[in-house]
Amino acid sequence: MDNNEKKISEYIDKLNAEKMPKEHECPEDSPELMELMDTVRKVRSLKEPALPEVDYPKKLARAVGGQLWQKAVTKKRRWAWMAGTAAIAAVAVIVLMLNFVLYSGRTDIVYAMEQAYKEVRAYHGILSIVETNLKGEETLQAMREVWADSEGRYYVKELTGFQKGLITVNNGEKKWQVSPEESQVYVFPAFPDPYRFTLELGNEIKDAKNAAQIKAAGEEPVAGRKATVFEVMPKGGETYKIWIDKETNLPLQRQSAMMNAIQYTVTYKSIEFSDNIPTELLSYDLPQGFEEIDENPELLVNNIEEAAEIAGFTLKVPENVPMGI
Amino acid sequence: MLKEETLKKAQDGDLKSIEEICSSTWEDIYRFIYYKVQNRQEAEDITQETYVKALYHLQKNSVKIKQYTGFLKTVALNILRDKWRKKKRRGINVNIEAVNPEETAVEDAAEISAQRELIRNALDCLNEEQRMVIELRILKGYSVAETARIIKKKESTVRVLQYRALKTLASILKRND
Repeated sequence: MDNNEKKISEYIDKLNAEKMPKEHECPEDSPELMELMDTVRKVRSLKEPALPEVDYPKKLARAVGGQLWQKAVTKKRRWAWMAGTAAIAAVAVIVLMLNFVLYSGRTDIVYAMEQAYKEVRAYHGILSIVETNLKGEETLQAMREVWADSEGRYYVKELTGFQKGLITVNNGEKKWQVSPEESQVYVFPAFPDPYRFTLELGNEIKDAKNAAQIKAAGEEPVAGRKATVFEVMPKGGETYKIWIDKETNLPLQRQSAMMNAIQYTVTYKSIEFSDNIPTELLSYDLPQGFEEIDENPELLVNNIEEAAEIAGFTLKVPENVPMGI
Repeated sequence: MLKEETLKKAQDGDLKSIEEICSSTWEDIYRFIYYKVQNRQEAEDITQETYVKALYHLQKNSVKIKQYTGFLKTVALNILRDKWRKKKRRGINVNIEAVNPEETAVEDAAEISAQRELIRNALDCLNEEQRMVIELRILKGYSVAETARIIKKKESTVRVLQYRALKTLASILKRND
């Protein structure tokens, strides 16, 4: 088949899917092809435009507000930096150069992940959480269904494990946790929300970006997908590993360091991308017969690693339970 | 009509005021951008960029805007043009965004409907098969496989018909420009 015919066809498919064709970012060299793509858009303009979702104006305002705030912060930082001495600048340049020499490759993978994540609107995945002890014995601790979007909303349901059925949701306005075992719904403010769930893509990439060092540590498939392993040394805490999908440039697996003789491996057994989280999953509805607890609620977590993430420090588990507890 | 106070507050980053501005103006701006890019993903992104740039500009320059929607459209058009220029700097000399530099931000409905009329007339110049393929593929959004099933042709034939039809349309539209 003629290559141009194929390219035009793919271009039409992309517009039909309401996605930005790659040619809008990196145009084709052929003026003829570009003219035909222009004609496709002209013909398409006879159609009514595909409008965004109902809550788009709200989302838009939030995003605009956030970006304006970020610009203001960057501007302040820029002024502060300009006020510094030439010596500080020189030191900074040397440090930057050393960073570049020592950790070359880090920026590349973080940048690749950031770019890939920019394309993600929402995703749905099944996570497995495996616990490994010092002897190397593995136990499947839980399977978890997750939905998350780029706006920070999420829905997490424990499918197996000791907290089977537990649902945690943050819809951007409110956060709640449904505990079927206790017939209770714990309600929390939506912000601040220090914890989402382990291996939430946005957080994972942010952690990698803020890390002191990232270095490649080989290749290893995860859930049937080719992946590159990276060792991430955070600015505080233990070094952990992440597996990045070679095709999508997004994290597939995370393995914590061995702490308290236990190591956790969280893996996306499956992941698919979509435009949004189903609305019904994000709407708050107190199930019949459930009690709502909104005073001093306690957020239930699945393991020590998750508790540490919320607390902001590493937890030590006592060898013996104190008397009376 | 937006209140001056709302604009002032929005420029200072007040989320409620930004929300008020977005709610009352987004659809005009979004439609204007969509008309150029013809896909929702890019239209949403550029709409967002438009508001950020517009409010940031107002923050920095403290100017009074009478026609806020017109101002936003001008900003959107500048963003589209900038994108086009960047691409041109990379050594590509074609107009990807279909932004005609002579077009103004206040491109009125009459101009758009005249343009649509030209396109409709151009479609009428196609032969029956070509017009059907263009309608099914571009206007109704069917895939190549679905189109092939409907018109009882091979997928490769659909692609050839589609390509030839677009070439014909392009030359007709060029003549009318």
